[in-house]
Amino acid sequence: MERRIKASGAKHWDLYGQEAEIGEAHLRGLDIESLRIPIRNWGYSIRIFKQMEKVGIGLASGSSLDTNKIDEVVGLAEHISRSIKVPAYTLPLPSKYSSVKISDPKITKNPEEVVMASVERVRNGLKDAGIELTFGKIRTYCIKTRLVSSAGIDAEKEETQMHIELALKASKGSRAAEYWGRKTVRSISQLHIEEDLRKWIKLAKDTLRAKAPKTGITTLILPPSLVAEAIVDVVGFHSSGLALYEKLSQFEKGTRLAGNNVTLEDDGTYDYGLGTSPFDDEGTPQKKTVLINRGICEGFLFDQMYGAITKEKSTGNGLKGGFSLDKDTSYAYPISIHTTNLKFKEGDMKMEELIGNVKNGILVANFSWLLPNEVTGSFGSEIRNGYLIKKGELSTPIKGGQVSGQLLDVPIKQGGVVKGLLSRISGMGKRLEMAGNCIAPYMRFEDVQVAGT
Amino acid sequence: MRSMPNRCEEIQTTEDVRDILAEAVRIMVRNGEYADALFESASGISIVKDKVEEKISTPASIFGMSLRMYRRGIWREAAVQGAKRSAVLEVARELSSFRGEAKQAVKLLELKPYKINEEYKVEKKASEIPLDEKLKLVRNLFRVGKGIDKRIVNIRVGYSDYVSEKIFVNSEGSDMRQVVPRCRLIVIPYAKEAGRVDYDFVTVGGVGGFEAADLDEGTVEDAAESSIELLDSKPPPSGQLPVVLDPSMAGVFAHESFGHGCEADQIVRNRSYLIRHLGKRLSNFDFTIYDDGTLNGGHGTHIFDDEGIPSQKTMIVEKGVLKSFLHDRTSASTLNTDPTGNARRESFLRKTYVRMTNTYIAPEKWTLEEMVEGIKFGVAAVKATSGMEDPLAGGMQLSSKKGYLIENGRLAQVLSSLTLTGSVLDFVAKIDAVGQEDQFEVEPGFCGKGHGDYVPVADGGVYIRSEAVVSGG
Repeated sequence: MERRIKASGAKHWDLYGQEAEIGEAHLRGLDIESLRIPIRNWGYSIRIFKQMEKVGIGLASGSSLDTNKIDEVVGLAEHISRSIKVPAYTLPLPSKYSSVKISDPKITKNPEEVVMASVERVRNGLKDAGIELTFGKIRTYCIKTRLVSSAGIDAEKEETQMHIELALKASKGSRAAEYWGRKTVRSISQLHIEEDLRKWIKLAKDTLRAKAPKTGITTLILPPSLVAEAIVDVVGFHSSGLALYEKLSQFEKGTRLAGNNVTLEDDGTYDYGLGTSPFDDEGTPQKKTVLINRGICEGFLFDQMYGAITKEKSTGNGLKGGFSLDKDTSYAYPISIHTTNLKFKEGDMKMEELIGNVKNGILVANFSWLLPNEVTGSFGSEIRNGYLIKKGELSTPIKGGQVSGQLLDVPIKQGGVVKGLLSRISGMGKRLEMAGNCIAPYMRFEDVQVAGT
Repeated sequence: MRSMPNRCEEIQTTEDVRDILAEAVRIMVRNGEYADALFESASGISIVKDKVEEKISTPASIFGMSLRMYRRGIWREAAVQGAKRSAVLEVARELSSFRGEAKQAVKLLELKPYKINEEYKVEKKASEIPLDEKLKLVRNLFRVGKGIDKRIVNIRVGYSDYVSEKIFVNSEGSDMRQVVPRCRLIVIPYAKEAGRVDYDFVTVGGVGGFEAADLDEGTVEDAAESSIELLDSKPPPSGQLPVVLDPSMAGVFAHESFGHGCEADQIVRNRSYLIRHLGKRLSNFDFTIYDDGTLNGGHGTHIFDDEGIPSQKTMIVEKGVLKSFLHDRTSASTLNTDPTGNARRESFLRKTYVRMTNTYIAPEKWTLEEMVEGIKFGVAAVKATSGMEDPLAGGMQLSSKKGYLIENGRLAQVLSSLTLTGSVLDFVAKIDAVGQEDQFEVEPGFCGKGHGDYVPVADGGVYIRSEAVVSGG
């Protein structure tokens, strides 16, 4: 493939190749409904760069090793590179990459065995639990990637992922309630199926007697999984070189974004982090970048292009899509800036204190779909599973009602700001947990709007 | 005989592909009750432009086969990239050696075979339009929107086209081929003033050729002006309120909050609140919901589904009465009914599930003015952004980018980011107005099953009026 690219006359290029093997099982009840093993696919994308007054970048992808087909893909990349331009771009030079942990040999060696063993663990965990499994998906990924460039980069990696998603239904008489649990990890050792099942089963059963919360302003506690949903996309956007350069970012270096208790970094080297990799998808080494330090905006994230435009350096965040379940087809995506692993500095509160200091509040274990708007920071979602907090203890389960608001401070035309959630963190847990590509503690927020009864 | 792209040493024609699929099916069905094989080849292009850069990419190459065998209650599947005979048949033999069985096996109903060979007719094949012409379209829309007002600080214009060819063979004798192209445009103008940033958007497209990416300059200008209007928006009031939903929101309601509960895999899993309501009246008001896989130009349209069942128009709700669920082969066999052409997969790499196609609320008689006039204090929610289903509890969550306060029968203050929740059955019972024919529109989108597994869909219809719990976000 390199030969074909060079034969085309392209002087500046990179070639990204990916090979994936997926195994999955789908459950209905404790039965296997569908077993899909192996699913194999692979593909590559070629970028050709034309140095002109500005820089033309042509990206095309394919999956055939047929010479004619490769030439077609190269030709398309060439054509595109002459059609479009970006203000500036430089290919990264070869670098030393850190050794990072992103692969589980048990998954690479025998993914089918891992899937079937996980199915058995789920079955055992649900046996006699009085719970019906109404949806179950267990999937493993083994992905090999190689990146080669005209600048001399020749880098390889092998990574694994495992995804489990279970809908657990509890019933009592005519009442039914559900907890939808999911987790994506790199290694089986991170998958605590039995422990998670116990928590999820309890949530499903407790939700049988749930009521909607009352309307009002309240204290809200979120687990790491929901902190991740709330924060990653919004902070990721506003911390990006794209938002900075296009003046869409609400963040400005040196300004206060949150309280002193908030320190947040993008860490592309975190062991078994879902966003961890020795190199980003342009070949730049991934690293740690502090975004918020004791509440103050300190840094932004860049890829090669926005690094060149803003005269900063790439921070190793040039990626073909962020954390997603379509990693096996991501080779075709163009590069843009994405977070790797957003990691909070742990807080100083045990769970007993975090909850214990709350006179009246709510702890939400699951939303319908939080999906904050990454540009405006606004969010609103129905509570699927949670608890009231009364006098420092979890009490009545809740379901229904909505939590809504703004994650970021919103400037008002007449002057001043309306404070966002990030500025209203009154407590953070000591223990960090990985949730998606975020490593966060439980967090407590003040003055949150709840619409209920 | 049609010539296939030369991607593989052994495959040259459609007939070659059919032969391989048929042989794979013969091998698998020796040990199974049923087998099918689907070949998929897809290609396209995507262009994204904003003020800094233009990005062109080709989507991940889709060229391969999905093989399935059903034996004693379990689907055993594998996917093979490419179409090399030896590789495909080796996988078929591997599947054929499967010996598992489910504790409660459903016997698959035997269906009649279908013979279809059809290409969706278009005016202008997007694959034959030069890249430069597509770029010109994108650049022009960018220029139009950017020039509206200095408060428009950026515009993102996205164009994509995609053509998919599928060949399907099964052990019942079905032999089918379809070519379905899709084309889509989205324009997002970003407005900024006094530190506040907001945006509206407009999207068009569906099954069709380059003509489906038809967005006139006036519509782009309106979207830019709407983005500017949002800079003065306020959060919505909270509480149970009368609401008017525009066609996009009505469509998201029909799809997310109602349609997902009608996907019959939820019925057989005992996970739908609608189980007890089939044949029953849900509302005293006449409203009708269709899921229509044949809708001309609909983003979710196809000629046959991924189990070889021809697409159809299914009336889910007729004049307020729940009439039908949506089925694949498995749910239809479990409930002893006919499949409805709703078995779909993201690609040959992913599993088939019961999925919607184009889901919409059919027109009745009301004008928008009549609906708004009847409200003393409420909201109108426009420009749907997302929705989420809760088929077990029968809850709903619909989010819109924009809205209007309704006061004394008139649209008043513009509102930002509304979320509507509540019980679907309560919402349905309170529907008291459904819009008329000239309001009808559907919007293209994508829908996931759980997390991931996205398929192209469309939803929409007309304006509707009801009540829901409203809050910001």
